Amino acid sequence: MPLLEVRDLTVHYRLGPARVHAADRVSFTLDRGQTLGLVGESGCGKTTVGYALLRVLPENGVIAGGQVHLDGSDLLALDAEAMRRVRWRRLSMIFQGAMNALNPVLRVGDLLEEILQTHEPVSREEARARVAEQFEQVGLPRARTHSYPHEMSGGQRQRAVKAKSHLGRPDLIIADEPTTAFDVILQDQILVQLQEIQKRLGLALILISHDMSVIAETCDHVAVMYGGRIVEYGTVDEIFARPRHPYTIAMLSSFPSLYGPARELLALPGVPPDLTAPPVGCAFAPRCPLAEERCHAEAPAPLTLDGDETHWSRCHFAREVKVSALAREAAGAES
Amino acid sequence: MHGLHWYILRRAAQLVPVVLVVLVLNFVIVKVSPGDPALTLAGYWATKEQVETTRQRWGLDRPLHEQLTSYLGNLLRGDLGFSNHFHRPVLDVLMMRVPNTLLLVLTSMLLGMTVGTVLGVFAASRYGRTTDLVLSVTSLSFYSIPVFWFGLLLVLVFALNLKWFPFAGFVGIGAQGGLARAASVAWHMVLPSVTLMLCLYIPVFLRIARASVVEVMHEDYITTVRAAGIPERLVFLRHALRNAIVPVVQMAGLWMSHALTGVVLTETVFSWPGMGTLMYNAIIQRDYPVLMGAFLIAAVWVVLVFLIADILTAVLDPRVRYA
Repeated sequence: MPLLEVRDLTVHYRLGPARVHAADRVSFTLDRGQTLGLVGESGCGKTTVGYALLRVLPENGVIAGGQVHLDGSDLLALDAEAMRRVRWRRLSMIFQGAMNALNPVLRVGDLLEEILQTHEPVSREEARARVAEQFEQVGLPRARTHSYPHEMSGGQRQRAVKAKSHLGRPDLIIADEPTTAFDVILQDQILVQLQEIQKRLGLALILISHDMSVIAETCDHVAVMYGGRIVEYGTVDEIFARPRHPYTIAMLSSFPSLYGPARELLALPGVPPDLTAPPVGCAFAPRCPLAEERCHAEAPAPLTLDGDETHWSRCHFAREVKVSALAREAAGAES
Repeated sequence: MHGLHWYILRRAAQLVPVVLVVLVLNFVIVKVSPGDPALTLAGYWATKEQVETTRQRWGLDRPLHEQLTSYLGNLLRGDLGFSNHFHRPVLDVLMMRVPNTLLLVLTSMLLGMTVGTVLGVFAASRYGRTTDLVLSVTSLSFYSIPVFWFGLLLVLVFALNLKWFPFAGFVGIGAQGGLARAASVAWHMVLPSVTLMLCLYIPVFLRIARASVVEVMHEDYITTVRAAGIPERLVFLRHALRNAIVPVVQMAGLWMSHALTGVVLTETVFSWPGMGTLMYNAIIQRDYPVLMGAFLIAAVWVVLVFLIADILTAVLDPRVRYA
């Protein structure tokens, strides 16, 4: 049985009389010790999925349907108190923007001790000792537990946030853009550390990112999101070597590759769809170079792909030559 | 040294130059204001010689810097001058009035601040719903009403028509003895106090508290603690309120600093014998020593209140201690 099974997760945001269809029938599974990359451009619903799994959506967010099974129990069916006990203890999230993720009026150590004591019947001294120990494990001096967030650098705060997540020894960590806003050296350190901890604790990781290179480096599976839906899913190798959705292809060709011939980076023209009134057909059709009449009229169902174990794509033409030709063309576009 | 102690020391040391500048400004303002004080002192019918004698007797013919030095010297001895209108030392006159104003303003402000802040926090917890909307619109409407007009309206309805409360003054003539006097003062204070609370303090603190809580509840660190399984009640009480209260304390300091001189209209409407009516009459009667004394007390009050507000802010928000 997979650790996490998300089925048809649908999230709306109320916006006056309108509803933003931020996540639409999102399904995926994740095994222990595995890493799933959730990738897509801003506003595609990646972060919304993370918030929904923890049920910490903003007050205008509504989970309109679906199931989330963590280790067998349905998180969406739990009452508020039971859900509160799941948070941090079994499912923890590292939010985007570590700069503002820590309460500015509390010493970082006090905050972590409070969280620890909320979940476990430990004495103050014991809590203090475990927090200090966790600080050392993420590479922060013990003395930093006495610091206020504004006394720490961005990198130190990121480590403190990470220490907060690891302290609970959860089964699953959701990391939302953990590397964004840091320089490449720090980005690399952050990713390496995440992977070390993951290996040591055997935990599962959902990495939310818009950065294809981060995903390539760290993930086992990749789910590409567009307009609130997962449009392509597969292993890292399948997605990067044989992308079968025009949007994935466009994402891949907008990032430089370290290996292979130098090629021109292609920007994707157009803007993401208006999710208050999602298109009837394929959400990507208005920006898609391959779109035909059928794409605007009929939403594509996921098509599994022969020869690949887990690979599927939500494109009418996923099995046809014109998609693979587009992928080859994008990969080989000479500069 | 501990960051907070160091901050308080530094902040208190800044008071010395500020008070000095206030004193000098105070002196200059009266010096450049129109009218000859010697003429006023000697009286309308005095001869030229008598005016000159008065000028010399009060030292008004000496150079400005000498006058300033003797003014400052007198202040150091606690001598704020003499009021010809009241035939008493200025300090005595002020000491009679300051407590009356503080009684009215501090009572109204503490009550209004508490009620306003609690309502504001409540409105924020109902953010965007009907309760929130009703509270916001009502408070804004009251805030838009001119204080003196609302005061007169209360007098008309509750004092003159219904005769529930006295229409003006501080204490009833018949009220003798401690308890009876206190009750009478409280009775007289109801209408001016309600005016101040409804038109000023409740709306101001309701709106600032509401805005502050709403803003803080959307901060990332609130999502962080919520996602860490901290119970919702503690998320609100321990994590959100402590952050949200900082602007409220600063606003309280700002309004508290106006306490002595900010309610001239209300005091005048209700004939409350406080600093407001005193200053109003001192201007009409050109009682310059009283006016100077009132300015001085008001300025020192402002400076002290800001000091206290800054210290409170630093206690609540560690980021301020290094500013």
